[in-house]
Amino acid sequence: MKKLALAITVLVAACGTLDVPLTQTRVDPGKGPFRERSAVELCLGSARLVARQGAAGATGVCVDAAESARSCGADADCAHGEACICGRCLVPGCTGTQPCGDGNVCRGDRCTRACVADADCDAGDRCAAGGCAKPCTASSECGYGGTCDKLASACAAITCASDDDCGTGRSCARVQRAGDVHEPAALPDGSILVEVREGAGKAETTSIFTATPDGDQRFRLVEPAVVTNAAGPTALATSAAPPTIFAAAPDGSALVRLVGGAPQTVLVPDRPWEGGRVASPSAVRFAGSIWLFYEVGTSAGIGVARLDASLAVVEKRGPILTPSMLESPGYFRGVDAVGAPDAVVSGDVLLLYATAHGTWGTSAFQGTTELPAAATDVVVMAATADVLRFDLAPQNPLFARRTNLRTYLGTRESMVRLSPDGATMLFVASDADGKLDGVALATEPLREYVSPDMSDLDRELEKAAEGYVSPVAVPAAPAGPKKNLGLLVGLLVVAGGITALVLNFQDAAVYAKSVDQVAADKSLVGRALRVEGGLVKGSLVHQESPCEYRFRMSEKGAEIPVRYGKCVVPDTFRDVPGMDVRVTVEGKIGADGTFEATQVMAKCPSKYEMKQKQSAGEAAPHQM
Amino acid sequence: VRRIAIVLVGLGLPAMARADAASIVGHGARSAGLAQADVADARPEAAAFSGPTAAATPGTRFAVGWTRTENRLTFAGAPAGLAAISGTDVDLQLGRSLAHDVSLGGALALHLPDRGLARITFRAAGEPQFLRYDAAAHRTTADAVVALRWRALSVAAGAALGASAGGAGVDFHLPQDARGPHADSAADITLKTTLAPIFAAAVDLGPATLALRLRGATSLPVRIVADTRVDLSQNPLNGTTTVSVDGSAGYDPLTIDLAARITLPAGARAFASLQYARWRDAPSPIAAFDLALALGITPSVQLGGFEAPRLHDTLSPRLGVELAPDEGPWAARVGWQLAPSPVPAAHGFLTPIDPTRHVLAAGGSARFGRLWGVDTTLDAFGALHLASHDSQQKESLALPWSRYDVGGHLASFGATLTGRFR
Repeated sequence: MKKLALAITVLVAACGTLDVPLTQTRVDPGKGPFRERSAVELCLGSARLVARQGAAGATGVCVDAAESARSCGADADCAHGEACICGRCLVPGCTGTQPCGDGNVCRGDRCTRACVADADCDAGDRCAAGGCAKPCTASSECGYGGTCDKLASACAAITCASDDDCGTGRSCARVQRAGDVHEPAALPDGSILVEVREGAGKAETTSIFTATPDGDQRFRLVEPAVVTNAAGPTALATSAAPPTIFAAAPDGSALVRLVGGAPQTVLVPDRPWEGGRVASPSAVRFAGSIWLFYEVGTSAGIGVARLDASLAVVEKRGPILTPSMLESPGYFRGVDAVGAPDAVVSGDVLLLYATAHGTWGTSAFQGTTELPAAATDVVVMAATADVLRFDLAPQNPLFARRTNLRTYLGTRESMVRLSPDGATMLFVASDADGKLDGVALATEPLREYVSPDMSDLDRELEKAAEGYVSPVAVPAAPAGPKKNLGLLVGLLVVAGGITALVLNFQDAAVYAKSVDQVAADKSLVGRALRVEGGLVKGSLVHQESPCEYRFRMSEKGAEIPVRYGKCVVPDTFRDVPGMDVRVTVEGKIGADGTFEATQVMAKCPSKYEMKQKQSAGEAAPHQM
Repeated sequence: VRRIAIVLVGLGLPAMARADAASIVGHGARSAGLAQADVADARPEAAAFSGPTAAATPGTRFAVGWTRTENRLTFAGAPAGLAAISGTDVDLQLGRSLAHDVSLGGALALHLPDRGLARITFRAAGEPQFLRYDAAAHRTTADAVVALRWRALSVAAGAALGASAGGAGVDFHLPQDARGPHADSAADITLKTTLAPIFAAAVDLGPATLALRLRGATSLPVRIVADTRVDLSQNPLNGTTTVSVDGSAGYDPLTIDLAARITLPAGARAFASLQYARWRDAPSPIAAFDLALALGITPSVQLGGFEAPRLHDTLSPRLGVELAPDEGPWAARVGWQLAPSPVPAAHGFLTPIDPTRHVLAAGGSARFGRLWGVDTTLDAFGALHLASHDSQQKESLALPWSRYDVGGHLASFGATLTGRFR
């Protein structure tokens, strides 16, 4: 009975599950890290707004005038060959070599998956000329906006600019409109303001639109535009709707507020540090005042103006943020621009986001050829409690992107919204060459805990418990000397178990020792060790073939030689004059006193400490 | 044979590691009811954790108990969202007189959390780190000691065990064709072994007992190595990627307890202990990573580490009083403990959290006499942990959690059923 009770107790205790996280994941909203989530679709009417540089292609596809498109929320809602474009299922038309996105090519005037063999395509499709083609006998098999190419017996599309291009019984369904979107700004009701630039040259127009959300990743621009010939909008919430909208004159000659759709000048660049140009205002109520942050010069910095209740400027402060302030050797280098402020209030702290241009990250290598990191646009952040002192985020750049491990993408003109679950950020994305891609979404990820699979451990415990409840006869309580014998056996088992564990652990355990301990204790020869110490300056030597690093570590006056027979060491592992580099090595020490390392870890001051050291004039050992 | 089987079962349990569950609550209802002030005069069955020298007490004892601690700590003005700490304690003790004034014994103390066997977690650097209440409080633990008593002097030695759950490592392989649409990948997860010593000594002076206990520091080192090979046509990034993650999940510091028990009139006893905890050696609660890439185009090797939390050592006084008439059918006890926080003012990117607590405990026991040939006792306790309100502001407002406060309370309760074989 007692055995059963024990067994049940053990098993119940062992069968617990990690069904819920033990600790909630928490983020301090707005302080990162941010992770890119998806592109954001901006729709003007039925057409998707695409960046002007990428819009050289089809603007519409011919559809059967008697049919109508099915509505959709995402591509998955549409039939094979169709895409969800601004809420409608359509065959994605294209022309020539127009880019169709990752993994897709333009074939038969429609975007389709790239392929090299039929196996790369969906079942039933075939690979033709590097693109997946769907066999057909009639246009009805090709989706809304598709047509059956009788010669190729494959689905295609007919692109168009107007109904005249489509023939009788067909009309031109517009799928895209060329326009660059800039500077999204939040409105209190969840909508946003965006600046849209269309046309080219003297025909270029700059307008501010309101855009309402349609799902998580789509906004619909509301026509007509809020105002034309204005840029960089921002909204200031007021007690009475609608909010006050500020913007900039496209030529940077003034910041204006929109009154009944007409601009009224609020601020002009009359200070030397404004460089004769102001742009990209961001208005916010904070600490009992109205503040208008704005870009000065040509991304030369950020200034701030305090406004009174009538929205007249009563004070200017600036520049509060300049490129040189953001310069951080080793982390963010060559900063030559900062602008596009976005001010957000988080409790009693104001978070100021901005776009900066500089180099972050490390060089890449192609073989032994170094490929330096490229300068790009990134989002940076500073915080203030009084609009006098601004603390730059040590984690700057707060949000930056890269692709292919080295090509750095542009991330600019952010708009941040805070929520208890983390912030969301809309930003203007560009490729490595600076060509605009459009607006994209990033979020502060709330990490999801993955409960480890405990089944193996449960089984082991069950085995142990099974061993206990196995039908072992329980002897009657022995008397006299037998008790002592049982006791001794029991104690021997306890002691033996501990000894066995200790002995067995010798191989598995990695002993953490300091250099002086390793140098002094000969009994450690042959044991797995983790040794920490300082790199002896000038001792690091490298041999190319076969790869080998040799160096010496020291601690408390003792030194040991270390050999590391691999080709790659951490880039933090550098012998830099004026900087102490702490090294941790794992491996075994030989009888000759040389430590044969299997792993080398160099510990430099943390990024936060680095900045402190740099401010004290100390050297930086590496770049991160 | 039964006793040997019990010991073997205990020693055979996997994933053993010293944990904070007992450090927070106490091991067993009696110890918890005395706010862990009982080091100098622990129950023999709970000796392995509470007072190792008591393992030499003649007799054979077995105890099963269950405790639960509701966590109501608050952080930044909202519930901290920490799960309750609950689990089963299993204790075994065998002790015999070898000669006049000489006895020898051994004891084993297990804690089996309700939620699983081992909790291994590394939180992101920007998140608050609840140093005591996340990983370590939800781990299986095992302490084993042997003790020798000669006249008034007792000594004990043993170990807190932290064993690997997966032997040399737990391997995962994704056996896919590297030339196909996916990459070959393999991961090896190693839970390294840890072993912390336990030493104790006590002198029984009759009306008073003095004791000293040392318990080594433990945590659960974890190493994860993932290798991925990519070999796709026309891919400039073909090559291998090795990601190594190293860290220690949960940390229990080295502790030294100086304790005393004094016999008072009318069957009363007073307990006192002072625990020194060496938190300064605590590793970073965030795993370091090492990213080694050998690709067609590759960045230089990336490596990151996080600064240690720079905790400071603490002194925790505990006091308790027990009213337990000899061989009487009942006992009552109260206790108080100050559990200081080892966490200094947060200044950087990390936000370690652990408020100072005052623990007010009370409990009692009832003896049922012999049941099925076993002397049976039931102990129960309740304790309230009052966290001191702590407001922090970091140097830079741009850092995560630049301003926050911590407060709230914890509430513990539990019971232990003890059997003594004759």
